[in-house]
Amino acid sequence: MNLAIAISLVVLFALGVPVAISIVLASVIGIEFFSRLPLLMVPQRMLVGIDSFPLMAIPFFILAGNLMATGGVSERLVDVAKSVVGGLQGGLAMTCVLTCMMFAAVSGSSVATTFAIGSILIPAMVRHDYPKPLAASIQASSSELGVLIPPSIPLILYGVSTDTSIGRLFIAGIGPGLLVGGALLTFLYIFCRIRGYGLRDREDRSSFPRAFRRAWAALLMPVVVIGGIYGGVFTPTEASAVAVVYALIVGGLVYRELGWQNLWPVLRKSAISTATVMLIIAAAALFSFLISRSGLPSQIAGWVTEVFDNPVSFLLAVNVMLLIIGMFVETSAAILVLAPIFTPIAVQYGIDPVHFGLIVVVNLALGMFTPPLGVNLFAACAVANLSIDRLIPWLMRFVLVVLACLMAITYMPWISMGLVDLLY
Amino acid sequence: QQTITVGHSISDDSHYSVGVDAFAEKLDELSDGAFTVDEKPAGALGGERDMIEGLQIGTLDAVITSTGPLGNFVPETYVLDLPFLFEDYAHARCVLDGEIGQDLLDKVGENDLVGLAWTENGFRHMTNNVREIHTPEDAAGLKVRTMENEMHMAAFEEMDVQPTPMAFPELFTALQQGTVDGQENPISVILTSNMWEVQDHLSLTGHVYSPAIMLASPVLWDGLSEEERGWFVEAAQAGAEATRDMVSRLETEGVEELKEKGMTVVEDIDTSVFQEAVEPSYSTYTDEHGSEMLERIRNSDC
Amino acid sequence: MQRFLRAADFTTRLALVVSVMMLIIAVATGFYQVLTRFVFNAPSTWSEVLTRSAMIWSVFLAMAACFRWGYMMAVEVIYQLVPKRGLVLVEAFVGLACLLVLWILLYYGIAMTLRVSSQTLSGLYISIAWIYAAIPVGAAFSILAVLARLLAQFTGREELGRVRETAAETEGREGGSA
Ligand code: NA
Ligand code: NA
Repeated sequence: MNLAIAISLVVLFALGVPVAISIVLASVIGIEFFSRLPLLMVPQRMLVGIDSFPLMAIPFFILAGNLMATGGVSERLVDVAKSVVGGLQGGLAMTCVLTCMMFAAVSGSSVATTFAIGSILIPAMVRHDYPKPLAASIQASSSELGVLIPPSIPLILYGVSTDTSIGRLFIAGIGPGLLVGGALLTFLYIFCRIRGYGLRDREDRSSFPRAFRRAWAALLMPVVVIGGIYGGVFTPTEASAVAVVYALIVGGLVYRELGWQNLWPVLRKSAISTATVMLIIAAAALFSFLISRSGLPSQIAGWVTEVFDNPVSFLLAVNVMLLIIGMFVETSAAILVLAPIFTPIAVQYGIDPVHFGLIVVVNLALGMFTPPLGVNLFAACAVANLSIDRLIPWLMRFVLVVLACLMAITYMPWISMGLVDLLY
Repeated sequence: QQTITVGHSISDDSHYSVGVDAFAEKLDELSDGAFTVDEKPAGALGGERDMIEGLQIGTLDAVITSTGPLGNFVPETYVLDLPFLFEDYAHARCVLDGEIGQDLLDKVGENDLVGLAWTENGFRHMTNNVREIHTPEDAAGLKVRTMENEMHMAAFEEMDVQPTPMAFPELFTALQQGTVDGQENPISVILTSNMWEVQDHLSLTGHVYSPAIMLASPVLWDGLSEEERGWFVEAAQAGAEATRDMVSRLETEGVEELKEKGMTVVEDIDTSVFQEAVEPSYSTYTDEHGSEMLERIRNSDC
Repeated sequence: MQRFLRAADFTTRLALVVSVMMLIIAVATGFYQVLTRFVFNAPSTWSEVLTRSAMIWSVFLAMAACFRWGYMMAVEVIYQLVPKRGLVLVEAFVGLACLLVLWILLYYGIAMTLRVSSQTLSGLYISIAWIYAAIPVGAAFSILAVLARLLAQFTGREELGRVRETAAETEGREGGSA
């Protein structure tokens, strides 16, 4: 059965059938032709898959991010970032990374980050003579910070599917987020010097105190969210509801850019984004039920523990596998299907499930901006109005930078766990 | 040869799992190898509510579940969630193995499910970080994480405890950070979830006996002969016995281990004071379902 | 045909409006839950289940809009590999796959809704069928939406393939996924 499901899945994906539909259809083929299970389980498992309170953080953080973006937060964060790094050669490219890091702290989604920041900075970079594909590549790769720096939808999904504390995962995401952000900044600094990009980046930027004064309310949101979770005021799910209200206040009352007239587009957009993510989650729940019932996870576990006799080789194998899967499979689906299989094995090797969660998410985040299926890639191409194939040569450099970070995060647990151990 | 898929939501070294092993062994013995058991522990096939639903449509063959979600399917079983219903293990097991237990299993059978046997999680006890709990007054004012069960929450409210439902994976951190002051669970859970690392005081309040039940799918049942059905019931009883043995053992050994790990344990608790305090919460149940079953349990010979 | 397109676009928009209302209910009750716990110190027993239920309805109702305007996430490489004329076949295949799955969700969703009707939804004292009904209802709206999309594309009213670079559409797609 598993082979039949796998083959149908690959074929359906390749033919351009939507991810959620492909997963359901492949499962239906497995149920109908290779098992004695009832098709009634299709609606049942799909409903159960999204009927979970911790998952509610996903729509809430999506909504909060969209409210923030529409409420005038994006421009203000860009100004802050520009006031910090804009003075350097390549400063505009670095501004993009830095803004994404800040926006990541108010958004749980990397695609939201691409749209919110990319729609401002891609045109700006093009105006300053950056090649368009480079600008889009910078944006696509920086946006993955959206899911490393908390809040993060993939980390929520990992927590839900493996019974790991989402609060701890969020804290553990900060270190890797800073590392990837720092690496991208350093790379861009050097790259722009060598290639001579961004010579005119110093123009039109405001002073840091002025930019900060305009943006403080937005910059306070991560403090409220993370501080609230860490300080024991609320759980991550509740934090997401608080974030929505905070975003409403900031956009509506502090910046006054969010009025009744643009509330509808934000809500509409959020409902649609929520549905696209949650339908994939629902489909993945059906799929994982079939996989679990077939006994494949324990077979894999047995095989893995036999082949890899130490955590180093196990982690290397996991990384290679996740990288490949991340290229082809959508992040939420991959986490929901794979995390419950591999996390228990990782724990057997003495790897902390929180650390392992970061390894999984960084891997899959990399897949978000690699073809053929990369949500950030789609988003960046949409903003820049480019076709994906023109982006690929430029993108490779960024893939390599993040790959190097991934190795560091995998084999230096303190990058993710240091802050967790310090705080808890 | 037929494979029986048995699901439950806790780990595969738990008292449930020991029960599944005993069930499998007995079934194998009775059926001479015609039925083999495939255990799916740790919620691999979903949460308790949706696994019960899965039995109804035939995606699983059997499930061991706490009675928490069972009331949604079989309202008569809500009675078992009442606090201080049973005096001790002997009382609870005697009632559930007797006529009352059989009547409840029959009620289960009327709701598109098959009740094989009653088993258990054990009595739930309170832990917290603020003070030793000897009386309901000591518990008053504490924020305690409870299950999402109306009976339990109503009972805690009568003690002026602030019941706070929360997802289990967040509980450890919440206790550590002080989001909640305490929690309540059977000894086995307190021990295996390392609650002792973040909780100072354990009070053996035994405020709720948490039964569990082994259910079978009506889809499976319809395909079995009378003789085979008998095997399943007998095997389920063997499983229940193994689970109960382990719970009893954990109750004594576990408390000792928790003491060694540094928890203060309040053992001599006058439960009648607690019982009096929570009595008004019984109306949550009796208003809806009457007090007939409640009286039967209280007046049973056990 | 013109009339069908207009009707289907109306139902799709209707579903989306209700979906947004459900999203608002979910957020409001979610926030209310936090308030009850931290301000009033008395957590509510119904807010969590209402949040989850409203969200489920929101998701399945918004599904129609995702199909109609092509927001569903997919591997899009095939649209660059296949020549313009072949796209008709690709779109037809994708549309059929979607219709097949939606039909299963409609048919078995109704069956499941009836099946669970005696089960109570804890906390709200209603039948859980009220939640399960979201699936067939959402699937019904979506079937109309998929048919409308196919029709619009095959009659040349809308461009074939997953090209949607117009400002309005890109805006709607924002935040597509994690
Ligand atoms: Na984030
Ligand atoms: Na990819």
